[in-house]
Amino acid sequence: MLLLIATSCCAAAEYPMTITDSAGREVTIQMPVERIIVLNSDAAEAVTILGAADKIVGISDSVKNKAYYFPALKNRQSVGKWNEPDYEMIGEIARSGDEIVPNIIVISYTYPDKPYGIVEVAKRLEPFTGITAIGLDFYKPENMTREIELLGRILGKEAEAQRFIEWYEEKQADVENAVANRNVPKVYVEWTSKGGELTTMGTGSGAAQLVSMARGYSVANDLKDAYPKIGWEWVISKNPDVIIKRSTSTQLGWEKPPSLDSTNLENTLNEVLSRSGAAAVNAVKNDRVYIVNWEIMAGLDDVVGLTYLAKILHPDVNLDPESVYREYLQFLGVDYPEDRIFVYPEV
Amino acid sequence: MDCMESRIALKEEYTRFVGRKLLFMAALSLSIVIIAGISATLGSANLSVFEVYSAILARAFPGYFETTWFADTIVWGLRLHRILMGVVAGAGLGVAGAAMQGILKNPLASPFTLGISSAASFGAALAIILGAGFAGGEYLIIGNAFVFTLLATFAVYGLAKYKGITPETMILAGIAIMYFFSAMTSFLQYVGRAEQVQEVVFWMMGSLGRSSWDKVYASALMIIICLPYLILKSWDINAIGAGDETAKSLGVNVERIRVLSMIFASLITASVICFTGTIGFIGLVAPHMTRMVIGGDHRFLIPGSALMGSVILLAADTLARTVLAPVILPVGIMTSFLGVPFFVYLFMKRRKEFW
Repeated sequence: MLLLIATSCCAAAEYPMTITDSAGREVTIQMPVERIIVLNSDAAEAVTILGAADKIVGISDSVKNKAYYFPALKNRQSVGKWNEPDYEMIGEIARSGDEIVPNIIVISYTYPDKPYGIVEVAKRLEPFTGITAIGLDFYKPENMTREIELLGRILGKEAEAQRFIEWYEEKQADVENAVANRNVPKVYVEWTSKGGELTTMGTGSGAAQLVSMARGYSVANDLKDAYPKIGWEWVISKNPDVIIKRSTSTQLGWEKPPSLDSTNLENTLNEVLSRSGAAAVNAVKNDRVYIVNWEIMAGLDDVVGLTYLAKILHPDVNLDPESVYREYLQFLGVDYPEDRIFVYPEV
Repeated sequence: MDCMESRIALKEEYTRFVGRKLLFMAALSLSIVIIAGISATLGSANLSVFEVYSAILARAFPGYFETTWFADTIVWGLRLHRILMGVVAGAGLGVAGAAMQGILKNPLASPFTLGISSAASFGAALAIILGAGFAGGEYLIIGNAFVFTLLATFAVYGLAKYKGITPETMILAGIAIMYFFSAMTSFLQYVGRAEQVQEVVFWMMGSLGRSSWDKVYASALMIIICLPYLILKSWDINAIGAGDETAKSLGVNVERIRVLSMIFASLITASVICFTGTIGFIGLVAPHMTRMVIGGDHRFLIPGSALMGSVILLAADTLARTVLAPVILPVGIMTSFLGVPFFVYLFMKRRKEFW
């Protein structure tokens, strides 16, 4: 009984703490984490949501480039590119005097076997005893809650983690309930269309998971690859009911004026509509071609994207994606960008 | 009497010639030491010049110099092996280029134009995109690049052998091999995912960021094994430069020299670029620069190109590390930025024929 109380009340506060990261590595954290270096923006988002942004002392270029999500991190020390950081700089940030106080962690994507994956990052940081490297992804919906819970434990922010997970699961459940028992439209998701070459998102991609959660059937489901290359003729032959096209951040985004957004979006939409034979496709016939800002389709904010998707696939459901986004941005401490377009045409 | 005098004069002139070549090489060696010395003090960590040299000397003379754990880690763990990798890789690529240009009597011969680099790229792309190759784990990319480099060499040799080994057949076979492997790499990039393609492109730009002490030792060892043959045979390579017939009449086994030199030069290239990625330019241009200054005698040209390659690569990497810090540019980009103006300068200034 006493033991039970002891473990339940003090498990979080005991150091050294051993955790298993998303690459399956056992990592020991020596003391409470006071300094964090994030090499990917999804992790920066998670740390910010857990209320530990003030502990971030180093960021990579991909975090810097998303300044609209992380106003508080704007002036943090840069450690170079996310996939080739300056390890010397990380060492310099980590040092205090002639030692490294092991209250510092580096968070990176797991990407096994890649030169920018956690294993390589950890190997490169080995000479600096005291720096702990942890692999966390946050871009795969299926690992999301586990990773947030883990990060909450690492940072001593269990309550905050729990609060976010509850919100996240509640919003997922809202979508699930709203679309239950609806008919299942056929969806074609276009990842890129560079130079007339189309890439869709097949099984294993995050978007495919979101489409099926929003009760749609992705026509690329039979294609094995995550990003298979296909032809327009193939799309026509599948005759999708809905076409969703990813807009790149150069086409629209947080930092572009809304008027520029709509011009770009109109052009993108017209490009799709004017493809030969497009008129015969159900989606075009019924005006169901949409451009989606991909910002909200991957990472911790994918629940916003999911809500938008549900609304696109089933226009009459009672869901309010904008309010979900507003709530999400409150976690980040960022104001909702008025007049920004996230789905075009509006749903 | 007259004859004697002219012989002495000739000998003096020859000594002067040799002296100038040795002087040039000494200058290059000194440049390497100086650039390496400066490079060791540059980096994101705030170490003073004094701290850096204390850290270096503390390992050489423990007890006389004091260092800190942090300075020791930065200097020995991060900076020095990268600097040495630059010296070793530059030397290897310079030697390979000089040898290939010499035995093929072609100023355009280099690991790039002979298909060797594109074969390495294909091997790496195969590992990155399909995860297939000749070794496992972290050696997958390295092993693949190495094996495909050798495959390309033997393919060039096989094709040339079939038609008779002449400079023309080897170059043409090399170009065919280059296009073949480039096409295969393009195909892999086409089917690969965006992030994999990015990784392949990054590998193909070449970088010293993947260096470590083990890799420095491995590359250096391979060069030490292969270089003596090329230097010992440099008289023969000189003779080949005067034409295959002349060389044969002088008793040189032209075909044998050509094949063995080619294999050794490829081995050197392979042992460098499998660790660094394909760093272009140096193999092609370092020998030319050296030739412009000290002429085409391979006894001097081969070691001279080695030193010249080291100077260019080391200087380029030092700039690549510091110019946009903490962003580290791939050195393959910097070599061209740095080397081209120098090359053009020499090219414009010198008028005489080098070939």
